[in-house]
Amino acid sequence: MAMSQQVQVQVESLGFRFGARPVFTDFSLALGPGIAWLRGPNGKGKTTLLKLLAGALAPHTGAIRLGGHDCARDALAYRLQAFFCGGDLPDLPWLTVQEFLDLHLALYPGTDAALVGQQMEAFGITEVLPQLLSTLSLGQHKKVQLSLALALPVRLLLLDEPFNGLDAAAIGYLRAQLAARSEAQDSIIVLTSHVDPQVPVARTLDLA
Amino acid sequence: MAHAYVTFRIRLAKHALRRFAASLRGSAEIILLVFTHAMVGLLALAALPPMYASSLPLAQALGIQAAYALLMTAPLALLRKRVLPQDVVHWVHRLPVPRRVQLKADALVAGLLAGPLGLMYLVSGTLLMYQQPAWLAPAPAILGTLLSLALTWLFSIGVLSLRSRMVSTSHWWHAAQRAPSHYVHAALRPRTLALWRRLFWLPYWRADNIVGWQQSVLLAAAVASALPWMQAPPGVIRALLALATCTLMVLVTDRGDKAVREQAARLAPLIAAWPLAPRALMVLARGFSVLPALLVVLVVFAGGFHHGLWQHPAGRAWLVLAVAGQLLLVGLPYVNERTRVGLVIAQILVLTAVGSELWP
Repeated sequence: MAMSQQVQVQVESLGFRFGARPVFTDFSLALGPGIAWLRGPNGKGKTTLLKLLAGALAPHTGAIRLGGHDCARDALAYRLQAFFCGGDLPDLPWLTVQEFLDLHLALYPGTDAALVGQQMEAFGITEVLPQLLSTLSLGQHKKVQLSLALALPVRLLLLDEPFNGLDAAAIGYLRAQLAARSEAQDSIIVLTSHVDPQVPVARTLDLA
Repeated sequence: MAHAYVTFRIRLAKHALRRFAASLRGSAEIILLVFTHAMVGLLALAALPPMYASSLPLAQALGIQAAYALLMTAPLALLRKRVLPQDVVHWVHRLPVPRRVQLKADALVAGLLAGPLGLMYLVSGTLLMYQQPAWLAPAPAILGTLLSLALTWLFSIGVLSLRSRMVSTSHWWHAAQRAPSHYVHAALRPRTLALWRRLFWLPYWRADNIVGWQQSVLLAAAVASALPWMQAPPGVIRALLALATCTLMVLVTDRGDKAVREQAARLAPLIAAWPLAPRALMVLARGFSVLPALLVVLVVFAGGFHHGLWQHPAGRAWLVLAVAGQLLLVGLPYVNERTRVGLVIAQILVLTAVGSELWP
């Protein structure tokens, strides 16, 4: 992946609320390449922050920029550089794994399909390709999402509880992949985890 | 005290029926307004087949009773996926619920659904008893009606029992396929059309979604009404076929557009995270929901061409109104349920009125 070494995500005076309940008020943050570990008790806004960083939720006030693209003004260019990998239930349960991957490769045109295949093989889930997403186990679903996430040419990767449901071999493989990316310093990875992820963390963010 | 599983199944069935009624609210009002007379007639005659069968020789009587009970089981068979969703079937499969308790739950849920039918038979049977047609022998007729109700109940139990044993056929289907050795990317071309297929076509045919079949049945019924209508049958038959064609054509657009709007709302949070400008996709999805109705218009046009119907002002007006009405339904921004029902009813009435003037 040919990417800028100076990639940075900037959050400025972010304000966001669910109905009348404020989740973020005047929240600012700057992240550079490497892994940031986002932690905190349940309900403190970890997943919400990941979704805001992914462009899936729009800030009510403030701005989020990634590599010079504003998440509101250049929404498509912004989202092309970011990917949110999360959720324990399939978002598109009527699709097969093959259809799910093909769809995302159409959305992210620069993706190397061979790399997706390699990730699937490394996670040992190639045989689930013809299965409906709704028939996968939690671990299989997580592996499909991670296979895609690790193959997409994005600058900002947002991983919500990536170790949930994975078997020991998959956890080891994922840690190695994240460590390699951390060393390459070519992308920003923000992950949430309630336990120590045991990867080279550049920064720890506590949402108390 | 009832077993917790039995209580759960009854609550689930009531919840499913409430949701079904809520989803039909718009259409139910339309159907009630347009077909009130036909429905009252059907209600009055509901008990006629089993009562009449009791006056026939035994073999014929049993055949009619079985066929009618199967017909009366059809609504439950169509609702089975709502009453017992696939994920519940999977969940229950893992629970230590004795077969006897499952059967009891199936029987009670079937009874819950067959209850209204019993009420219909009571009203209809009373009316027939009061009229006393020549063929009616009261005691066998009452027994025949009770037998029909019992058969319907037994068939309903069978439908629910089969459903509760059906642990995902998709597992079996996919297991039967040879496992691929590696991922081969299939490019989505043309992109918008391929995205539409994955996001607005496949969901209506998979994962217990019945919208695909529902729309197919409505379309088939509309075409089946339009074809004989355009053969210019005499008198009231022509008027009834005009009413049926116009109603079904408008309903297929209304239900299709509703399904597309619901799917768009479901996809909105996902699409918000994708690098995708959704306008073309949404236009395609909304546009596709008008195609079944346009096919019906085409069938009417082709049939009417033979009779020279489109040379008259009424014919041309019907064509314009039919096309414009369907485009209006799918093109309108969000309107509340009442306004939409009003619009649908107005379309049906205007199209039927103009349609009845097609033959000078």
